[in-house]
Amino acid sequence: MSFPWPVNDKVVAFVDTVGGLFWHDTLVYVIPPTAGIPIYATYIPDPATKVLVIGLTFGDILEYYPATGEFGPEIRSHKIGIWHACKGRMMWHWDPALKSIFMTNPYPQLLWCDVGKPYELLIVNDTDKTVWMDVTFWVVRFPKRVWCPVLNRYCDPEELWNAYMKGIVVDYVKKATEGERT
Amino acid sequence: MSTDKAYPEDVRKRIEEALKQGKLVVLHPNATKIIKKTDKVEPIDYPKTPSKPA
Repeated sequence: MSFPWPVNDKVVAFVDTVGGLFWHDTLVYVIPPTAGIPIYATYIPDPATKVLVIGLTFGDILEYYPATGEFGPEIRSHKIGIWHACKGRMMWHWDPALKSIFMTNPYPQLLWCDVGKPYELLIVNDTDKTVWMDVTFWVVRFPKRVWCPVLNRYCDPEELWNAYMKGIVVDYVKKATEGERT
Repeated sequence: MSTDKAYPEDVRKRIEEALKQGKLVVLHPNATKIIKKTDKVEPIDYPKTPSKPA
């Protein structure tokens, strides 16, 4: 079976064995003109969970008329977009509402988030219009503590993930170096 | 311009009021749980989660 990147068979094996659940949250942002001052917002997973964000999908950006509740035309503009970051892994960077960003769907990531480490956003709309946009966060939800079959104890799923990924790299490097010797 | 109404009138009014205050509005069935409400961010739980079928 094949899966869209970065959900390959190794990721699926981890998710299935550790008790993860593929999940998504589709958010609609209605954004007023921000006049040079971006609006800080966060995406916080369910407090009972820790999530691995595997991708974002950017949808439509439409003009929105608050007084009537009607949509206007689609907008593509370098004056609209999102700065986003996740502590410890992804530094702040700029995703403008331009075609090259929206063509990359989903926007792949491997970022751990929880209540104490939310996914952070700075929303920018430096046009004079109110805009409507949808963004889907594709995640894998895990319990806050999961059973580690090797360590024989409960641990943070991020800790187990890091050990698992390191194990894959070590295994491949060993195979490569052993192959060089023969 | 589309004449389709995006939201029920009560939700549209809440969105309009928040936008007048310069707030970002975030809509999701559990918006108030996954989006932190601040003086610049207004989460609105929409659409409502349907009741379970009998």
